[in-house]
Amino acid sequence: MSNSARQLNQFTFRQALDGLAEKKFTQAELVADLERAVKAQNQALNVFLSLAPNLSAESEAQAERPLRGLPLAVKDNISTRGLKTTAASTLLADFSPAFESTVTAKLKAAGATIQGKTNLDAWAHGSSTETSDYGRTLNPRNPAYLPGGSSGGSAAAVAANLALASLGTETGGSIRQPAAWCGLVGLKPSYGRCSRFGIVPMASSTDSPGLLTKTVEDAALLLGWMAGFDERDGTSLRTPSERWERQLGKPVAGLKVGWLYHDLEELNEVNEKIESVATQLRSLGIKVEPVPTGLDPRLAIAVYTLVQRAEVASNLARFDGLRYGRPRTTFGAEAKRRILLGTYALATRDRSEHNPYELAQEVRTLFIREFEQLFTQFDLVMSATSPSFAKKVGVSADSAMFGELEDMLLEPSCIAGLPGLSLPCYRDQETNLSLGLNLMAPAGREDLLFRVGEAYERNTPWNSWRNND
Amino acid sequence: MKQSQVQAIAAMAQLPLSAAEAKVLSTQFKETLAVIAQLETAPTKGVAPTYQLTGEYNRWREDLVRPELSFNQAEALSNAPRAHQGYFVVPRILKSKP
Amino acid sequence: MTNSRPLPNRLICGLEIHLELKTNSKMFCACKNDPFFAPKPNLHTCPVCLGMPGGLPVANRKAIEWTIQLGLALGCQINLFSKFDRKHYFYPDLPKGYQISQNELPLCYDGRLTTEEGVVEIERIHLEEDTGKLLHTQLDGEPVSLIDFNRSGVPLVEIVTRPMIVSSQQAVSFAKKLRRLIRYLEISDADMEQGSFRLEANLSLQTEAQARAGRLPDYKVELKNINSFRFLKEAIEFDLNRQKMLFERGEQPRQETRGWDSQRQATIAQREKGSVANYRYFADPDLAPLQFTESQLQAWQKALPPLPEVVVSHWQRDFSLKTHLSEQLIGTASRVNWLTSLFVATHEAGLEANKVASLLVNHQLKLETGSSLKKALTEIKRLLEVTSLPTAELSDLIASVLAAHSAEVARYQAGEKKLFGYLLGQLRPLLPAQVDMNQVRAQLERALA
Repeated sequence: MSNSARQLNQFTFRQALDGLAEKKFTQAELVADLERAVKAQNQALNVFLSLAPNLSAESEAQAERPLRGLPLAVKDNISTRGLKTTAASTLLADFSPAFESTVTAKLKAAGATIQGKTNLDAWAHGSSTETSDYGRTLNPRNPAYLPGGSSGGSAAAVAANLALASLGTETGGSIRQPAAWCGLVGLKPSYGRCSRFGIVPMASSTDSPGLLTKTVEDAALLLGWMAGFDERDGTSLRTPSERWERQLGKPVAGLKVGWLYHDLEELNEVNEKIESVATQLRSLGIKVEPVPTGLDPRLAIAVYTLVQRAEVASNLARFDGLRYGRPRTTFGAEAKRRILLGTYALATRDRSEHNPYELAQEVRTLFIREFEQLFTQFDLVMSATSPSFAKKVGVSADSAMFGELEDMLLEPSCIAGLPGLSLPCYRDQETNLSLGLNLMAPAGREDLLFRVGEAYERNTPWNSWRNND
Repeated sequence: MKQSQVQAIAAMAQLPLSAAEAKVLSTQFKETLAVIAQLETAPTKGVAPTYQLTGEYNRWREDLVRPELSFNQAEALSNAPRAHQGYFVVPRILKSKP
Repeated sequence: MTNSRPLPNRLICGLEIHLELKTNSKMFCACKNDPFFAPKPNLHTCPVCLGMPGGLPVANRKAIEWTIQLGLALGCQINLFSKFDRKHYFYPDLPKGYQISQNELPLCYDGRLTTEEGVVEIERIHLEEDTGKLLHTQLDGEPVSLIDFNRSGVPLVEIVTRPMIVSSQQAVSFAKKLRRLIRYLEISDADMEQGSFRLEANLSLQTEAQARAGRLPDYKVELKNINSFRFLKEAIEFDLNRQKMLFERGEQPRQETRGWDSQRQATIAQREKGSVANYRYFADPDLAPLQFTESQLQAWQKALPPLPEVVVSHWQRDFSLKTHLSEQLIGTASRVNWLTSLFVATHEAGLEANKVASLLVNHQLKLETGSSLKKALTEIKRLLEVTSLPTAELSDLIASVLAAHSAEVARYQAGEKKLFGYLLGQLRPLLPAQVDMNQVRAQLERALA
């Protein structure tokens, strides 16, 4: 926020909502600032793949609704009627759905508008947004670095103040990781909390639509409008949506948080910072205890790997180029690789002639039980979101080792369907890059995430937007 | 893994594979076996698979027609690369259904 | 050189039936279930049945219940825990690249249906979704297929018998009886021409020894494109012969799929399927598994209407109704219900049920299911009022008929007694409806003597 003049695009969603309510500015002015910012930076950062036409008029038309016409950026694997939905793949370059996804329909019904569609790793297969068919997105905090993925475009949009807030999806870490790398709040709700209807499917049993926002409050507020039972999604939770912003400010003293993977040597760099987090949380009256590792976390990776590959291969079988999209041969290298690996996994039988997919689902049960066990002792569990800061563009890091650690921190909560919140917990002065704290709660307990997350955010200097006024 | 086995997988997935790609993949397929082997080390005896994270059974709907949830013909065909008089068009397939 | 090893010559056959349920909506979405009568292609589609990215299936409860009821009516065991699996293959009429079906936990298994030629066991009954339809044609000289997805996602029940059918008659008998039961339960129109009742036969020949040991041959031929009971019989008999001749020539019939060609009156090999398909089945993560309780099962069992065989025996017990008449009257369960109330009413009015049944069977009496019993009784009484014709008038009518058919009369008198029926048939339309047929027959006989 180096500019002297306040630009409306620098507000949080909540601040913008209040500003409109108090008639401090109009929808048109806000949209104008957003569009100006997008015009100035989108080319370099490669955040938006498409922009909605007539945003200003649409925003004004929703002025009286609860969300007052405020625009949201939407990851381009979420179907939006009449707006191209490409999943960042050339295969869907010409695809304009004739239907709306439930999450965007709900937000629109509440008066939000769709600003545009953001970049991602093609088909959400990746954690860097480098494997988009439309070029990589850069990290607005430091353009020499990557924003993470697969919701990298959504993360960068918010980090660069090109959007007030954005929608993303997480299957194995794709919201929380880019949120951490870009210094934002990333919310992966419980599996089933938000409808998957209209989302280009990746791993059906873990895909979770969620949010990338500037503050915890924004995430709590927007989740309320986005979540809820959907009759068109047979895996959507029946528990009703809540006004989660009411959780903010509730007391946190006495809550117990378990710290996972505190003793892994490979995580030394970040664990030092998480130690500071623990200290900070303790000062708020929260009990933080390290948790001895139970099940080998690498087993969680094995579960995720098999389940994700099998489900992806299956879900991408519908792309035959007959009813929409380009021919199947248009799939990029990474998508092709995953489809083939998944096909192999499904075509194979293990030593005892079992379907390996079912075996993975059995191991999954073990992890669900382990978390349930942990949650009898703790209200929440936490870890670093990512084993390191954002990766540099063009540097081929030791991906194998890195990938495994990365996966280990986020995949267990993904395969167990737990909600997770990543928020900034450190900022490096030189690189301007952030580290993220990953809070995880029992299924359905987003309220605890918001309560503790916001308390931490309020009592630390890591959030760039909190004190805008 | 034999080239023919790799190509068989590619055929199952309807994706063309060059010889070079097939070679790389055959190593990666082996890795999948390692993943499966790892899963087999877990104590899953008597453990039921998690079919649904929601833990629910019998999620079904009543037998009602909801025209507002359907496409009209134009919408159905709106993204078709080839259409003709309300039909999707595909070059004649010679092989029969598996 | 005599080959002492006996040739396989006994038919062993299994049937696979696909049945479209006539629910209002499709299996996994709320689109209209109207595959045959829809006036235009692709009228009843949505993101789900068109396989759009982001479409998600939600199961139709009625389709599940009807499948279980069919299973119960066929004496099946019901899997209290069941699920849907994805069956993967690529074909233009399969929009998701997989069909939602059931693999190792079908809703029903181990049932049976008794035919006149013996019991046929049913291995399994499962529920799945139908595919779209392909229409082959030419566009500007290019051979193409046109795809219509109105049928995509229609609930489809698959019924598989054990391979134990031993004759084409038994196959036809089974298929007919099954279709009658399905129509009776009112879960499907089961119309072969409209495609709601599709038959496939798997057959091979076994030796006497194999048959005695209950060992199946190591090959089977799949017969498709059978759209009538007559074709079923002809196709089985043709291929039975074809296989026999191959064995006689010292060859083994190929394991393949063949289609019945009614023009050529032969089964024709379809194009190579290639290696055995690997469907890569796994439990569909978008669909919650199914779990039923014993009490639910009992409720479904109780809700089943009495089955046709039971109806026949009840009608005989209560109204002395003859079996051959009952069989012709049993259509749907609703119809049976109403007819029973009709027979109760006619019984109370002192009218003979068999006579009422005959009127219905001969179409002399047409009654809508659920119509007024009072009106029906009045009409029946009127029709049953038997009047005698004046002998002279009857004589004249008989004489005119015999004169017009002198050739047949001559043949009758020469010994072809069967022609009596024919002559009676010529006479009948000239007579009033309420005539005493015994009188007519007697007089005709006398006239012919």
